[in-house]
Formats: sequence, structure tokens, C-alpha cells
Amino acid sequence: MELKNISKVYHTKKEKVEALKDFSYKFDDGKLIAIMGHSGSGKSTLIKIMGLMDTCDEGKIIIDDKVVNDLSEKELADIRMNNIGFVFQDYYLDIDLKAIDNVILPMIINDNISRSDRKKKAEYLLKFVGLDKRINHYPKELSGGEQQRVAIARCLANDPNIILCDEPTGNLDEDNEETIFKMLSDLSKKGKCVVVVSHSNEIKKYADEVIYLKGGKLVKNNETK
Amino acid sequence: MKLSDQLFIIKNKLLKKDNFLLMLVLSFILLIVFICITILNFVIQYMEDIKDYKETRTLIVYNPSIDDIKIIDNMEHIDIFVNKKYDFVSLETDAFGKSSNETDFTIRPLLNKKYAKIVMGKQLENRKDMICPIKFYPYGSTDNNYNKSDLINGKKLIGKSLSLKSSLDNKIYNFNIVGSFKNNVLDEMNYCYVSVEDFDLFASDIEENGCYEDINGVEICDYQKIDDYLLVVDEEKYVENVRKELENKKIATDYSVTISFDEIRTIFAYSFFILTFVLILSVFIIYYYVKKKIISSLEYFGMLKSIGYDDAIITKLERDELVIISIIGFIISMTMYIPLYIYVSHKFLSELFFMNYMIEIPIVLFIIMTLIYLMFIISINRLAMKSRLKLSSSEIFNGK
Ligand SMILES: Nc1ncnc2c1ncn2[C@@H]1O[C@H](COP(=O)(O)OP(=O)(O)O)[C@@H](O)[C@H]1O
Ligand SMILES: [Mg+2]
Repeated sequence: MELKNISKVYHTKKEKVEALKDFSYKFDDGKLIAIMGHSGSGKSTLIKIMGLMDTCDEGKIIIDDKVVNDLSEKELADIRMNNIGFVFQDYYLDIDLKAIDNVILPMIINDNISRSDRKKKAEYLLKFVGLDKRINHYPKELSGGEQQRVAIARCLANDPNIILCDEPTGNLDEDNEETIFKMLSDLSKKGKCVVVVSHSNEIKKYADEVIYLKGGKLVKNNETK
Repeated sequence: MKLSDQLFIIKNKLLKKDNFLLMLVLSFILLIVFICITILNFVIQYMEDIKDYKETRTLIVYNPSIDDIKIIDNMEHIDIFVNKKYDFVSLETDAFGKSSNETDFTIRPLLNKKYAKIVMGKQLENRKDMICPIKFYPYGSTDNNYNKSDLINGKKLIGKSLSLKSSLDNKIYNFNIVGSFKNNVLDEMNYCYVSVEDFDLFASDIEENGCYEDINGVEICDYQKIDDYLLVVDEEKYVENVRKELENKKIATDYSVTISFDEIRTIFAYSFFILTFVLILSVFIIYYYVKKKIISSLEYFGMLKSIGYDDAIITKLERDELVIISIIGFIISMTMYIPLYIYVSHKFLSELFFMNYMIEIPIVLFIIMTLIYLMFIISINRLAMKSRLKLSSSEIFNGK
């Protein structure tokens, strides 16, 4: 996935906020790329635009060699389903569904996964995140770390090759943070493009690349490890 | 998306607080609307039926002279003008399942065929034919002792023959019931029509004027010739005119029955007012609840978008949730309505109005009304979703 000269301006009643300014970067498959920067520096905006949840004012978004800027809402949703998995700080599980049903939820709209396979696949993914004993629990019966692992299992439901995480460990303690980062790192090693916004310096241990944002601009680009 | 998948997503959401509130609010709105519709429907039908009810157009003319009779015969807007002996005759019979003591049966002459609309069987054609009402209750009926289960379906009487004894000559005459006529709200339910000629076999032009006991305790009764006449005006609106005209000619008249419409008009006005009020109010209430529900679901919609659901699917999911809520609301309102209907129609209205009026449940109107509400809810939902779905994708990002 590649971003070219992305700019985004938010118009509020009082002012214009330039959340991203001329941002360009190529996010390679098989790498964990950490995005760091102060609060308000445009990290979430970047994730939102990469995840096609919002439009940019200028620039190009290229996924699998295709420019996706001008696609319809339905086509964008389709790309989100097939190519992109999200992990949020606040998990955003469906609190009325069991862990396993949360993981099944994205598969329902995917015609490539047959009905009969949904459950098996969800079980497999929950096992991958170490929750095979908790598949029938509702989110409120799970700890924060467990909920975030369900969210990771869910983001993998339709086998995306891009995983976008917006401060995935923002609500978690260090032990849980480590588990989550390890898991995301594993995914990148399996060939996925994993992008993680984080405040935590711990992420540097796992990241193949770290980029810094300041006032919506890419200011530093470190290869780590 | 298949229905089962939809239910998979929706099912646990149906009884959440917002949905539950909407369900309750909707069922109460529907209940009130249904009650008002029932009453309005009843009143409109009642008024409609009264138009056919000739008793309200009947005047009694007291003791007209031969000249008076000539004048009246030449007046306009008069359907029937006959001696009062052609009103009705009560007869003893036990042909209707109860002893003659408990039976209260009368016959009337069919003076004008338009006063008996045949619903089944034939109109009077031959001598000794008889037609009876579709709702037949020949047992003495006042509001208090009316027993619905004794009501006879007039259609089932067709083909039956009936022996009636005349007190004029003490002879027995056999009649055949050949048809059923529609009896309206206010019509008495205990009479059958026969031809005028047959009626003459039973009707005396002498009536009892009063009885007293003499010194020895023997009852003595006075009789007199019936001099009064019945006059039926052809349309309700001419009744007053006809009466005034007769008054000018010094011919004394009186109404046969008087019905007060004040009560029913008041009820109509109140129901109409309440219905209008509730309809207007409900628009705002439903708008408020649907909007509230959408706003509180923004993060949920954002999550669905993030996993690849498009706006159309999310709108459809939300719509179907509202459809199910509305259907449950309808069912709840009907379960409240039915006992209320049974109570009110039996206890209250049966005393207020003539007892043989059945208050209908206008179920078709209810369903239409519910569908209108449903369409309204769906369009509000679609409208409110459109603008907010765009917002929803920002809701779930940190530092929104
Ligand atoms: N929906 C929005 N409307 C207006 N301003 C916004 C909106 N989202 C973000 N911003 C502004 O854009 C800037 C970048 O925000 P964000 O991308 O959330 O930063 P970060 O995630 O790095 O904290 C901030 O100044 C923020 O106030
Ligand atoms: Mg942020």
C-alpha cells in the first residue's frame, strides 16, 4: 500500500485544521510499521485515510497497484472487507455478540466464505489469539486484553493483507501490550502489512520501520532493529 | 444478506433500552390510535345507519279528519301515511326455542318494499310469506336483559314455517319464512314483515283504552277505534318542514321516537380531537426516538463500516430492526386493545347505545395505520442515517 502526497484539512466552525500535509509513504507487505508522534499530530487521520474510512483532499492512495481514491462508497467498503483489518484502542466489539460471533460478523458479508466454514474459521482465529477457551463469552465477560485479542481475531476474519491499528494497547497494561505487539509482529512475519500507531516506546522493539509525524507531516523515518 | 444472518446480528439488540422504549412508545401510540379509529368508525357507521332508520322520520298524526287525510295524501315527501293499526301486532308463539311467556314477537305490514332490504332468500311475493331480520331476537329486549348468545341468525330461519293465531277470528294461519332482511342499528330485532293483506288478518282497528276493576273486582276494559295515523317522511331533512306544514294546517302531530345525537356527537368530537393530537404528537415522538437510537449507535455503525459493511447494508439492518420493533409494538398494542374492547363494548357502550349495535373492530384500518407508521419510521430512519453514517466512521478513531 502506498500513499502519495496526501493532505487532509478539517473544517470546523472556528478554524481550519491541517491534519495531514503532503504525506507520502510506501507501506510494504511483511513489515510492521510503527507510527509515532504527539497527540494531534495526525496519526489517527492517517489511519482513517489509509483504511478508506475517510477521504483525503489531495493525493493518491494506491492498494495493489490500483488508485482507490475515486471509488464509490460500496467499492470502498468492499476493499475494507477484503484487504483491510482494523484494531482500535477501544476494541469496538459488538457487545451483544459472543466472542465467536464477533469474529463471524465480518464473514457474513463475504461471499467467499461459506456459511458452514464461518464457525470453524472463527474458532481457528480465536485459537490463534489464545482465546479458544473463551469463544462463548460476551465482551463484558472478558478483560481488556482479551477483548483486544478478539478484535485482532476479528480483523483477520476475511484474510486482509493490511492491518491498521490505532493505539491498540492504549487501554492495556504492559503484559497485555507485549502479547498484542508480539501477535502483530507475528502477523507481519506472515507477510501482512501491519501499521501500528502507538505512544509506547515498546513498539520500537517489534517495528521494522518507525515513522514520526508532527503537525501532519512526516518528520523522521527510522529503520529499526 | 440472508434473513438468518440479519437475525443473527439483530436478535440481541431488540430488547435493548432504546429499542424497548421505542417499542413501548409505539405500542401506546398505536393503542390510542386504534381506540380512536374504532370509535370514529363506529360513530360514522351509526350515523350512516340512522339514515335508513325510518322511525326517526315517523310522525304520529292525531285523529285526522277526512279532509286532513286528503290534504296529507296530496303532500310531498311522504312515503307512508296509514292508520296506526298498521304499526305492529304482538303475537304469542313458542316457535323460536323459548316458551311463549319468554317470547316477544311482533309482525308488521311491509308498507313499502324499500324498507326491507333482502340479504338472503326472497322478498315478500305470495300470501303467507314472511321475512325476518338477519339479526333476530324475539325475546323482549331491553339493554339489561339482552343476551347475545340467544341472537338468532335470520338466514337460518329461511324455509321455516310458522303457525300464528289471530285474536280477531281465533284462527291459525301458517306462514313461510322466505327471506332475511338487513336490520339496521336501531331497528328493533323482534319483528318480521308480512304483506298488508296478511297483516289485516291480525290487526284490529279497535284498541284497548284502559281497564279498571268494578265494585265486585271484575275487570272491565274500555275500547276505542284507532283514529291516529302514522306518517313516514321520505327523508330526514324534510321531517321538520312536514311537521310545520301540518301545524299550520292545525293538524296535530308528534314524533314517534326522538334520538339525541348530542352524546354521540360529543364522543365523535373528542375522538377526532384525540386522534389528530396523537397523530401529530407521535410524529415528533417517533422522530425523536429514531434519531436518538441512531445517534447512540454511531460507534456501532463505524465498527460495521470498518469491517467492510457498506452504508446500504447498515441502513437495511437498522431498517429491519425497526420493522421488527414495529411489528412487536403492533402485537403489544393489540393485546392491550382486545381486553379493552371487550370491556368497553360490553359494559359501557351497550348501555349508551341501542343494544343491537355491534361495535366492529376495524382491523383493516389498524393494519393500514400501522403500515403508515412503519413507512414513516423507515423514511425517518433512512433520512437520519444518510447524514450520520458519514460521521460514524470518525467515531471509532482515537482522538476523534
Ligand atoms: N473530525 C475532525 N474534525 C475536525 N478536526 C479534526 C477531526 N479529526 C481530527 N481533527 C484534528 O486533526 C488533528 C489531527 O488529529 P488526529 O489525527 O486525531 O491526531 P492523533 O491521532 O495524532 O492524536 C488534530 O488537531 C485534531 O483536532
Ligand atoms: Mg489518535
